[in-house]
Amino acid sequence: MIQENTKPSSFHVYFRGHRRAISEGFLMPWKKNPFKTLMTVLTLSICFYVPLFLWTLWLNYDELKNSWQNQGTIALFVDNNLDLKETGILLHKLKQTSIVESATLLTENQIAKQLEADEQLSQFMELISSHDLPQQISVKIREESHIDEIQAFVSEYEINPQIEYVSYDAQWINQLKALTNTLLQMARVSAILFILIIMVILGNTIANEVTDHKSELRLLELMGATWAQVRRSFLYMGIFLGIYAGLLAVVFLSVGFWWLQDTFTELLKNFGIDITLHGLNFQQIGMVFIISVMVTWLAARLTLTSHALNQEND
Amino acid sequence: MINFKRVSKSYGKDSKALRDVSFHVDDGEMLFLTGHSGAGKTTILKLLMLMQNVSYGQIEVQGQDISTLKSKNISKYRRKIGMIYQDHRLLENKTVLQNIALSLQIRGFSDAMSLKKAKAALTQVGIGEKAQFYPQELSSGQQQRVGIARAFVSKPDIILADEPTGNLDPDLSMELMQIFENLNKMGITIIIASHDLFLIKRMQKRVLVLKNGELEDDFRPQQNMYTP
Repeated sequence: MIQENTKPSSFHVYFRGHRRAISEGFLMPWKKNPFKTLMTVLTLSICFYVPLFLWTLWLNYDELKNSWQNQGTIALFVDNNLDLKETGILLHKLKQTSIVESATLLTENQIAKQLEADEQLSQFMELISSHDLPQQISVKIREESHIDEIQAFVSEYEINPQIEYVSYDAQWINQLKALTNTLLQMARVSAILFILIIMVILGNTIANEVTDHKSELRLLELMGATWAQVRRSFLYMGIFLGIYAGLLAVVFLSVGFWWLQDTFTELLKNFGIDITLHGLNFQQIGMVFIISVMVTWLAARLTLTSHALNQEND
Repeated sequence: MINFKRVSKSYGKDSKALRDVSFHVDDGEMLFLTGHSGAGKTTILKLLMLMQNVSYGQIEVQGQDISTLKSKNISKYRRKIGMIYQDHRLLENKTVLQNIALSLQIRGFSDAMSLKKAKAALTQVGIGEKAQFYPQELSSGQQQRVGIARAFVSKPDIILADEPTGNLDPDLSMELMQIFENLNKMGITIIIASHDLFLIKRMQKRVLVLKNGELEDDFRPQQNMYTP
């Protein structure tokens, strides 16, 4: 009989078991049908890519939204009865306001030129015989100003008797907000949808592997392997597939953004905005990997639980 | 010590694989289970391996009622038993040595130690030179030797063998029986299910005879030997 060495400690059983499971989990999907595994990884990565793309786009859009908000100028149409001195005092008061970067008094001619420069309004200008336009103070808001501060400023001057009318495109801001929220919601919904798809695809892949190895797994159980030992390599397989898929999704994202970069920059330049489309930073990429691994691990675990071997069917 | 107390096993209402079977096996004993096909030999082994649960009665192994074992303790219990199958159940994608080492790896032995012990076990069953072969490259008798080596490499208390000589010629069967006898001499309790009456007679061991799921006879070596 073989001379028995000391029984391995619980730590050794655990550590060696995991080490073997990592190795098996890494090799298992590639050994039997590498092409099929490649297709699975590609499908998973596309499923990760779609919500990831929307999320990254939203990160960019958030920056863009801020830029648009801050670029807005407020036009204050001054009461015609206000004399030059009173207008000057008003202008000075505006310049002292914390959120105001600059305040400029526009003459009647300057306003007329602005209106004539607008394609639609120029036709309207031709129709009206006299140019009895009010004086206008164009107020540029500081970039760091919050939307609530801007709204408070607008409200204050709307009730100011020296001001006839405050032109501030709140509707556009609201539309922008709604658009942003819709985009965010789309990203959330699609993320949930695609995570479900990932779980189904991965679940099916793991289930196929379990079925292929069923007799082997049963044998391991009969040799004294615990269910945790038996399923371990499949869980690692899920984790590895998650890593591959996450990695490919990030690569796809980078390629996609690189492709869109010039078109996007050109588009924004037409709106007078100078923003570069940026991908994910290291922290965000790390988060993507953690999420992809967690999703695939969970899918593998759920599948294995449902495929727990039935000891009555041997 | 294995103690079957009025054990019955049924599959559905009409199919009874075992009926009120009681027997006792001492530690270090070697015995045969025999009977025609469907008599209940394999069912007894499956019940001992906890591959199936008893429908009625109780099975005690080393003083413990195995039907009360919780799932986490079932694996610990199974590590006390080495099982040998008629169809060998060797993994085709692993070498002979890796197949044997698997049993030790499950128990947490290092790869190097597992392979070393597996090699020694393989030598003990007489095919040490086949270590790097794959199961499908071996004859049926050699595959069964690998199965035996895998069963005893982890030093179990009990070895259960289900028709281990089913596909082998008489000479080869006797060689395997010799291996079992050697293992038994080392203190391992051995229960062999077999319908090879010629072999059973030659071995001069205790024989439990099953018929239609009932224990018909219990012959012991000191008594008049079992003569079918």
